[in-house]
Amino acid sequence: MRTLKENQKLRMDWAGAGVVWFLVLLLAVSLTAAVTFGTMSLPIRDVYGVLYYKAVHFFLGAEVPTQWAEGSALHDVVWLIRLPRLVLGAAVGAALALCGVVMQAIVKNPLADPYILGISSGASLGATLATLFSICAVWGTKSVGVMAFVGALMISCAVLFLANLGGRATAVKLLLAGSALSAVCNAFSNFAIYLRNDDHAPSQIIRWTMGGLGAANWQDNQIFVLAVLAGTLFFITQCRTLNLMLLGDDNAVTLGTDLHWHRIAYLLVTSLLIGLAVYNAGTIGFVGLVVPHGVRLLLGTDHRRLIPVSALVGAIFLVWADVACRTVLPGNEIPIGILTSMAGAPVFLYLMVRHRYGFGGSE
Amino acid sequence: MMWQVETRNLAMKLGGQQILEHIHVTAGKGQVVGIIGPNGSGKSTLLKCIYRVLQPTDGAVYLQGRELGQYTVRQSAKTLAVVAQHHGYGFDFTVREMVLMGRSPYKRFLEQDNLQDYEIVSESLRMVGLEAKAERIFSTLSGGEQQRVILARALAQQTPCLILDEPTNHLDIQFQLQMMELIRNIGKTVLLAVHDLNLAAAYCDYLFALQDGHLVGSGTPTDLLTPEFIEKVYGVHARVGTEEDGTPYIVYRTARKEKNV
Repeated sequence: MRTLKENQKLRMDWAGAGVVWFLVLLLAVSLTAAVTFGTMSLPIRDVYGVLYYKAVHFFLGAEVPTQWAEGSALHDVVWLIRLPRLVLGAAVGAALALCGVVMQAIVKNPLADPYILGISSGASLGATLATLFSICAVWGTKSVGVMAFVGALMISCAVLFLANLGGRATAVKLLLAGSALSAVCNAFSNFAIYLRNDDHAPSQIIRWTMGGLGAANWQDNQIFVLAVLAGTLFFITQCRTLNLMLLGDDNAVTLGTDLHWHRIAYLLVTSLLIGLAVYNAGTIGFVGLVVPHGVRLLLGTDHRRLIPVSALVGAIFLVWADVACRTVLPGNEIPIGILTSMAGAPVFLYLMVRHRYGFGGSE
Repeated sequence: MMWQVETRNLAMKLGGQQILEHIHVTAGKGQVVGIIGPNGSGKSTLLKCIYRVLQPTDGAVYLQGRELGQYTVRQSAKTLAVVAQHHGYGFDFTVREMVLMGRSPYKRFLEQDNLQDYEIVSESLRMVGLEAKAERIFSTLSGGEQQRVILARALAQQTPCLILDEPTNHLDIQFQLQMMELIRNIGKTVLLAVHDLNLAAAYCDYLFALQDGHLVGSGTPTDLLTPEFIEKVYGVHARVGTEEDGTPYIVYRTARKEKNV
C-alpha cells in the first residue's frame, strides 16, 4: 500500500522527467532562435524553412526547389555558418557542465571545474604542442585532438595525485594544485609559441587560449556531438555510483561499491570530453562550475536529476552566451571564453568566500 | 545458516606501528557483542578491518566461516551493514536520499528504486523515529539525528549482521537508551564498539576488551566488569553494583592517582 509520502516521491520522479523533456524542447527552440541573431538578422521562418528543406532532402531524398535550397544565400548562412557554431556551442556547454558535475563528485568538492583545476589548460597545451611540433604525427590530422585528450588526462591525474598528497584532499589543496598546474601548462604553451615564432599558428592557438566557436564545421561537430551524447548517457547510467562517491570511499565500500575503477573510468571519459571540447572550441571556463551549482540549488544533489539537467542547461547556456558574444559589440565578436570568465569568475569567488558551501541549496 | 562474524589471529600495522595483534573476536548469531577499551586501544581499527575499509596485515575476518576476501564488495554489503563514526559531509542530500542509498547493494545496473525500496526506507526511518524529517537536508540535522539517519541507512540494507562504531556518540541520554534498545531487539548479529561501560553492561551479551591493540579480556558483562579489571584497563577506581534484574552497573570513584600530582 502506498502512503501519501511515497506517492509524492513517485510524482517527484515524474516531475524530474518533465523538467528534462522541457529542457530538451527549450534547447531545440534556443538553437533555432539563436540562428536569427548575427550581422544580418534573419526571420525565424527562414530558419525553419532551411531546416525543413534539409529534413525533406535527407529523409525523402527529394529535391524541393525553394528559396531555402542548397546554394541559396539563406541556406549557406543558416546551415553552413550559423548552425554549426551553435551546435558546437551546445555540445561544448553540455560537455563542460557534465564534466563539472562528475569532477565535483570525484574530488568531493563543489568548487571543481575543468578550467579551475587546470585540465582545460592541459588539453590546450597538448593541442598547442601537437600543432607547433607535429607531435604524435602518426595519428595524422587527429593528432591535435589526441594530444588534447592526453594533456587533459595527465593534468586530471596530476591534480588528483597532488591534492591527495599527505592525507585527504581539501578544497584549498585542490585549488592550489589546479591553479599551479594551470600556470605551468600556460607557461609551456606560451614558451612553445615563442620558440616557434610562427606566423600562421597563432590565430588557432589564440582560439584555444581564449575560447571561440568560430571554427565550427559539421565534420568535427559530428564526432563531438556523438561523444557528448554518449558521455551523457554513460554518466546517466552511473548516477547511483556518483551519489555514493560523494559519501567517500569508506561509505561506498560498506554500501557495496568499490570506487577505485569507477574513478579511473570517469577520469578517462571526462578527459576525453574536455580534450574534444578544447580541440573544437578552446578553453571556456566556469561553465562546469556555475551550471551545476545553479541546478543543485533548484533540484538538489541527486545525480539522477543533476546529470541530465546540468548537461541540458549547460548547452542552452552556451548557445545564448554565444549570441551575447556576437551582439554585445556591434560588428565585433568577443571570444566566448572571455565572456564566460568575466561572468563566471565572480560567481566562483562568491562561492569560495561564503562560509559554508555544501552540495546544494539548504540554506 | 550461522550468521557469525569472526576474526582469527588478526593483526594490523599502520605507518610502521602495530595497532592490533592476535585478535580473536566472535559474534554469534543474534548476539550483541561489545568491544570495550580506552581511547586509542584499537577498537575502530578492528571494526574497520571487519567492514573492509582496512586490509589486515595478518589473519583474516570470517563471515559464517567464509573468509571475507571471498565475498565481493556487493555481497558483503548485503551481509554486513555499518554505522561508522562519521565526520561532516560536504553535500546536501535529503534524509530520504541518504537512507535510500542503503538499498544500493541490491540494485542491478540501471535498476530504479521501486515502491518496495521506498517502503523499506520509510520503515527504517520509522524505527529510528525520524519519519517526520524524511525531506529535511541531512547536513542541517543535529549530530544525533545524523547518527540515527546513518543507522536507518544500515537498517535499509536489510543485512543479518550490523557493525556499529560508538553509535551512542553525540546522542542525548534518551536516544542513547533508545538506540541500544533498538539494537538489542533487532534480531541481528551485532558487533559494536562501546565507550560507556554501563551501556555495555546493560545491553551486550558478551564483551571483548582491548588495550594497546591486544585483547586483555572477554566474557559476559557480569564476569568481565569487575572493579579490578576496570582499574587495570581504564585506570579508574570504580564500584560495581547489581540491578534487581542482575545487570551490573558501574559507578566511577576516582582516577588512579599518578605520583606527584
